[in-house]
Amino acid sequence: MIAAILTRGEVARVCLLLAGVLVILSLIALSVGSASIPLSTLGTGLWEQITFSPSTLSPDHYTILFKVRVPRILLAMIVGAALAVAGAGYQALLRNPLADPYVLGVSSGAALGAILSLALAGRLTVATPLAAFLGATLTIALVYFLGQRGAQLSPYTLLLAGVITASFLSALTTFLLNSLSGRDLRGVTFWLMGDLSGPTALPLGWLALGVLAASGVIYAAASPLNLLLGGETEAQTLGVDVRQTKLIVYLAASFATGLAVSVSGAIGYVGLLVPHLVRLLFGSDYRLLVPATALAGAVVVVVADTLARTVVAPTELPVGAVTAVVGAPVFIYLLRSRPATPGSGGDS
Amino acid sequence: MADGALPVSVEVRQVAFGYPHFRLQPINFSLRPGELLTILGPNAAGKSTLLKLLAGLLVPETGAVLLEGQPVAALDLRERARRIAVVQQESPLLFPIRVLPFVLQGRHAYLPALGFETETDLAVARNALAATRTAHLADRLVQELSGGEKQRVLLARALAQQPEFLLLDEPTLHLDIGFQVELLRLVQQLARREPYAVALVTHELNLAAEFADSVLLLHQGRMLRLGTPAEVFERDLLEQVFETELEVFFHPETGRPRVVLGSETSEPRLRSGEGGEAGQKRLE
Repeated sequence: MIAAILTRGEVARVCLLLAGVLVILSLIALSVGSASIPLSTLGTGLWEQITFSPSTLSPDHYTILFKVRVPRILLAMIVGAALAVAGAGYQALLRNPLADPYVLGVSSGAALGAILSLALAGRLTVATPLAAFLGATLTIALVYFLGQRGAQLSPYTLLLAGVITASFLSALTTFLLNSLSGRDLRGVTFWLMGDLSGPTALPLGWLALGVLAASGVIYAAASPLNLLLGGETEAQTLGVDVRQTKLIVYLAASFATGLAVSVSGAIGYVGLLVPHLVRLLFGSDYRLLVPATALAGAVVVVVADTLARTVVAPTELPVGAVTAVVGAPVFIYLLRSRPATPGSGGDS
Repeated sequence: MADGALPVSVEVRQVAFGYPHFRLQPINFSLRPGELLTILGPNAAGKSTLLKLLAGLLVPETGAVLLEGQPVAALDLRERARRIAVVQQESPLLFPIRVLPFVLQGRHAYLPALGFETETDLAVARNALAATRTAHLADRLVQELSGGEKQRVLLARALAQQPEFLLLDEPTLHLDIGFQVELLRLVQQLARREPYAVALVTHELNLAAEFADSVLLLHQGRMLRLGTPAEVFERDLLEQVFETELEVFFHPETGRPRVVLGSETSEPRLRSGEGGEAGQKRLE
């Protein structure tokens, strides 16, 4: 299991392992679908692509592979990493193990922001992710405010405030989408449940860069986040600039959420499931948790999306339906396994 | 300065602080390395506020807390954490963590950003575990420890900070009498061995009397008296401050004072200033 003391080598080992899992599962995801592509054809196609050789694949296979599945799986990876890292960030920031961008309403806020920018511009632009980021930051600020009882952050009030805010913002989203129908807007399902099949507002490269930057910022705050888990005053006496750490992580997690939601809608529970899974397997040190969560988040969303487009093929489920089917029961389980009296609500 | 005594390491000069409904009047005292000061007083006397001022968590309105002549408020956070360690009343941990990594958290202020602990940090942490007699707990989960073990592990984490000044906020709160004595004896031994100055907030009058080199008695935000336990533990003074009948004896061998309840404690008295500290906590 885990060595008594975390080392760079241990982090590298875990990340390599998860990267290996990600590659293998992505290859499987590339080959399965409504039209399955044999692994040998897949290998040939990828090899030709890597070596810049002219393709010998049939035009159909070529299109399915490189125009549809590769971009979609890359998108799934980026979105998964973003949501999972954002969840891990919010959990430490809010000192709430059940924090998740979707449960807290942040995803709904980001979706609403994105839709408002669509309504104003009439199409997807680079402003869409920025508007989603703005929606995310405003929503988490609101939920944080609503979650306070006295000067304390009450863990259960916070969750409830998040859920209610999500429901309210989703209602606004539905209202807006319906009153704007006929314009070039993607469906209610996309924004409320999440979907990885559509065109994205940003090129994948930019998106990856943004998520990498946000994750990097959260990773840079890994040690302070570890100490924040034990209480803010404690962290302060151990040498953490609490206010700065919280501000940075708040912005980075909201940025990651905004980016993810603007290209995939509100996919739920990834930010909850993945960090918990990683903690269970590898411990809760953020210096390992952040990179491992990013990779594991990519794995989970690639798998979820593959299921979404295969279980009812030739039609598709929204990927958010798959993550919710797994995530909601896990959420309930984690909620039930917490002590009845809130105990993690900051210091007195 | 007496012969052989170390120079003053902590000096508190005219330190005052005000919340909207509570004022801490100017406090003065100084400590040498190895000295143990206990801060006594009824609820809402300002003990926690004073401790926060000493820790640099609050900035004094007037006056200064000086550590080796430098104002604590001017130290940057990391340097402060390398020089002042605080053992606080335990707050719940969010996720399971083992004792050794927990104690290593005390090394945070010594690590570079994105840093991993070195062999040196590990050695310091193991020493801290040994010093607090918790080495055998290294691989246990902090959440599974008993109250006494947990307090010693919290102390070990503070020791791993290698401080010059150690602050403890009611460290014996949930401990039975045996663990209380054990913990304070340990704090006293370590303070003298290292040596570093210790300030400790407690409600346990007899523990203070037994282990303190000096006692600071606070009442309604004022420093009523500062002195050796024998100087502070006057029956009339303690009765006035704690508003109950008390008896003070002196131990025949050590000469240290002991406090017991007086004979007329059945009649409850109205306590002034009650609730002040609670009100102030809500404002933080």
